[in-house]
Amino acid sequence: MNLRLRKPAIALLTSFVLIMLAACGSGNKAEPSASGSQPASETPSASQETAPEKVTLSIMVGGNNKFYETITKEYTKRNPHVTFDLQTVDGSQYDTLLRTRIATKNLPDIIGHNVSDMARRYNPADNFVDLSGEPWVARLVNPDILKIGGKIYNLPFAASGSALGIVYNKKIFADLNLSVPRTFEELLQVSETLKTNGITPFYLGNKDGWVAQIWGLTTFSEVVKDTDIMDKINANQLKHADVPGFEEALGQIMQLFEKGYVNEDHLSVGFDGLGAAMNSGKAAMTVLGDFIEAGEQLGDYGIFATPGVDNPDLTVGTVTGWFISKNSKNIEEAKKFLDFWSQPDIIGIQYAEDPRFSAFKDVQVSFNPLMQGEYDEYISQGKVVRQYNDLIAVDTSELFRLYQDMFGKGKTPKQVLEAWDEKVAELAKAAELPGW
Amino acid sequence: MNARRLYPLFYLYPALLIYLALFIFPTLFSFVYSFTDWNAYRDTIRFTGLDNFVKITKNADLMLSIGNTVLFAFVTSIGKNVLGLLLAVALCSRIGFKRLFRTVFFLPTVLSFIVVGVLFTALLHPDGFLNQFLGFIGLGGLRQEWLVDRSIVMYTVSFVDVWKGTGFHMIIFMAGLLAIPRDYGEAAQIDGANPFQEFFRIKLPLMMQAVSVNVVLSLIAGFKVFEQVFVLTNGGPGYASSVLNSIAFQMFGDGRWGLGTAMNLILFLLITAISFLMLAYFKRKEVDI
Repeated sequence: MNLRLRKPAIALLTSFVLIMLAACGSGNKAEPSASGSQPASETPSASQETAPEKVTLSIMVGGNNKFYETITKEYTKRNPHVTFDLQTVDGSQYDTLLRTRIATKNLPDIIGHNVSDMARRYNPADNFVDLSGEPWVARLVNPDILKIGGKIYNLPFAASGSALGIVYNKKIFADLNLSVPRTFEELLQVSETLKTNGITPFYLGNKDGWVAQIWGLTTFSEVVKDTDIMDKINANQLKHADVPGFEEALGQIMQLFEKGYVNEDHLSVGFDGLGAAMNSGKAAMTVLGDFIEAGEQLGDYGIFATPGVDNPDLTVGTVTGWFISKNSKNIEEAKKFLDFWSQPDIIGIQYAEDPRFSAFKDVQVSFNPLMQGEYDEYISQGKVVRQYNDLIAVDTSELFRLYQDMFGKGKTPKQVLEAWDEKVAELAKAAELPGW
Repeated sequence: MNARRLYPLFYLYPALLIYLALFIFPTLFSFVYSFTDWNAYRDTIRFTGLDNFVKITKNADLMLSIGNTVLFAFVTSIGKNVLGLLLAVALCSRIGFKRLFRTVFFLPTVLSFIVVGVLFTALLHPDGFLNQFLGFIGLGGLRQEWLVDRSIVMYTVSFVDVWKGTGFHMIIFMAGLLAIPRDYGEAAQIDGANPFQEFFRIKLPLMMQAVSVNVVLSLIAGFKVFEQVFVLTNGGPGYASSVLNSIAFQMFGDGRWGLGTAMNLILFLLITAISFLMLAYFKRKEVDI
């Protein structure tokens, strides 16, 4: 073949290859969000007469509990035209991914997320479907904690969020005749007794930022309870460094380190190692929450509120649940799925694997002893306080790192608060919050 | 000599187009973005001039990360090149099992950073292998919290990187050494040179191209460090082992894109400056056979 024929042939082949590559690349992306093609205005009677078009609902969750699969499979069994694209995202990447997908308007149909984060960062009115008129709303135990701007945008998994505080080994306490400390002095005394008896008082997992922040979080929540401190801080009228309660709270945990009440390798251990370490009985307490992974020995543990102040209430977090994206092409089907999820026999599957305080009036949950204790002593008596992270107007992940810096002796409590104030100012200005 | 071009110039265009579109233009755009307040919380972007850079210089933690990056780059570069050179000389001499040693020393380069990171996180744990071994041989006093102690964490990370990267540089040095004709060495020996003189006066100057390649590559890789830090310490505790890339990564996750891009611009300027300096320096030192 002479060169004159070869030239256009090669040029043609090159462009052909390029087009193929481009098509293959974009083809994969188009799949999940566009495969459901029926219009949202389909009436129920119509769908029974004609064979319903195939729908794929894409769901994004963090964490990989089995009940997601179990429940979606059950729904497909009852509604064969619906299949699910379950996207499990690792917890540490979840926020980044969610933020990117919202910015690029490329959300899956259904997203699992928590209410306070959604309200603070992701503008639910613009991005998610208003679910205030759904049939299951009437059955909610605690609709108020879901309301963003007066409307409900998600189906909650629980009536209240995870409780955070000090998880303690009841057996060790009983053996040494110790009672639950309600003041910081009592906590120090309990720790001293444990130490002299050869038991590490605290086993902390500060390698994970979100565990390292729990002491600060629970004590701060008590400091701001029933005050207007958070309103002032969010409006740029007060700085964290000016609130003595905050510095005192951080000073308290540093005292625990100084007195040798904490495991030496606390910065090398994360959440994954905590359950096993506590089960081995070498430590009596850990700063964590009611989600400790203790397996069968869960009954050995109880939880009490962090005694930064005297007689504290238990800090509880925000609630997670399902949100439906406004850009979804399958909003009606997604709404049906949510209603399905709320049914007692279905949400019961979730509670069996991951017990929470039931979100719905007609669903009963049997608690493990840890949560039963939490319920009896705190929840049922209303002795709860909302967590600080839900009350501050900006994202707190930088604060976690500052705490770790403090534990690594890179900053004093005062410096942590000052650095945090700087960061809050930056984030608030970037988001153009009023007052900054 | 005017060589006839075998293929017409326009064969270059598709690749050039992709290169421009996916590499040159985004890089240029990012330089522009680093002078704005581009972030994830707003749809509008405002030009803010040198604001981002002023913010960076005023923030002690960010300055620490820049310092850590420079420290890491130079420490690992020196480590990898000195050790690589020693190993290359040893493996080009008359010792046995050369092939075996070559494979053994090159093997860490082939492993992925994640594997190495997970491995060394376990080894360097306060109760891990290294500390236990030190205790076992009676050097218990040398036990450290390798990945947690602020004063040594950056050196620990550097050590892991040197362990991993030396083999690669060793191979390049070996290529450089083996390209030198025997006659030079023999002539020097006849003239009464001892091994040190032979090495520093004859072999090393003739190897300058290999040295130049190795030093510049290791410095650039050192400045661009990310995986080693991310897997071993995630920049921690706090900011003690943070480097430019890990901070930029955090900022992008935080949604503060303008600031992250500014950090990257600083990195780009650092790498460009050091590379040019080094290349110019070694160019002068190169000796042709």
